[in-house]
Amino acid sequence: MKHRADIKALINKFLDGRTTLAEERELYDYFASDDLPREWHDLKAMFAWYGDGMPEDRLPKPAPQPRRSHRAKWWIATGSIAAAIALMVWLVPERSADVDIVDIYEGSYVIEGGVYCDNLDDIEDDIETLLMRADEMERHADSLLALAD
Amino acid sequence: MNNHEFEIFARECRDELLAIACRLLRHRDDAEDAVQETLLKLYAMRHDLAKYHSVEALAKVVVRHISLNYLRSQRRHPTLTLRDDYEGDAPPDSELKEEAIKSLLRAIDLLPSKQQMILRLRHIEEMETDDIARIANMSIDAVYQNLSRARRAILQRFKHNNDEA
Repeated sequence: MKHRADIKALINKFLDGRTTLAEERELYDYFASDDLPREWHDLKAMFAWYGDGMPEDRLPKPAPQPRRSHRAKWWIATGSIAAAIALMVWLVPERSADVDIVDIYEGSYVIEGGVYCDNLDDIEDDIETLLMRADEMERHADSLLALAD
Repeated sequence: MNNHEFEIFARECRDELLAIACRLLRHRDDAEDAVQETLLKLYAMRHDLAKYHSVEALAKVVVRHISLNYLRSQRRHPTLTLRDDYEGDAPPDSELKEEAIKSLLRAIDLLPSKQQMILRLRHIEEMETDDIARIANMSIDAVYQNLSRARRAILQRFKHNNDEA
């Protein structure tokens, strides 16, 4: 019989997915015993389930997800709005290759972390990144639409 | 198809499946997941694969199906239908009959997720970790990680069940 500390290490190894098949059989044998520490009683059913080939009718149903309180919902809603405001960029609609980059982005601004910034030198990288992401999303959408056609 | 034949097939078609998944998902990690899930699900059905003329063509259909299901679950493009999957990279009708494909995809949908599949390969088929890694074309660390997540989720179920009793 293994020492309790060894079994505990083996349980952790099992939960990390790193036990060998022989070690797993050792755990099944150990937990088949009636002489188990009290805190491991819930593991007895689990190892018996694995040892018996995972019968579906003995697998407990998943725990229901806890429902969010109104207060939590309020905080999530507030957080979402704050996040939406955190990075908001407005771009002039018409772009032309002949126009200077400052003219293209004139009037754009970024509100990041609640701080308003319309200095084009500072926000030009943000705008370029955003445009690249938008182009990427557009290409992706086009490819999916092409599949649907 | 036996284990050895399946391993060879998985190695040979992996890059092409990854390319299909990458084109649809545009994210390497998601695409790797789709390919692994495809190979695991086909492995679970390996004894039935002989009736298909081209297992490679079948794998392409399945990886597209799994990728599109993933996109739908992410609500990135909720309106694609199954028939759309057969355009583009789809194999010719002569290789896979449409009804056979539909029937197979229904069966694929009924199979458990990647984590559950790995759990089953380990605990029911008693496969070694490196064999699972070879079949799914994933690293041994990835098998450890998936096994660990699945086992911890199962533990939570038993703990919750015990708390309620």
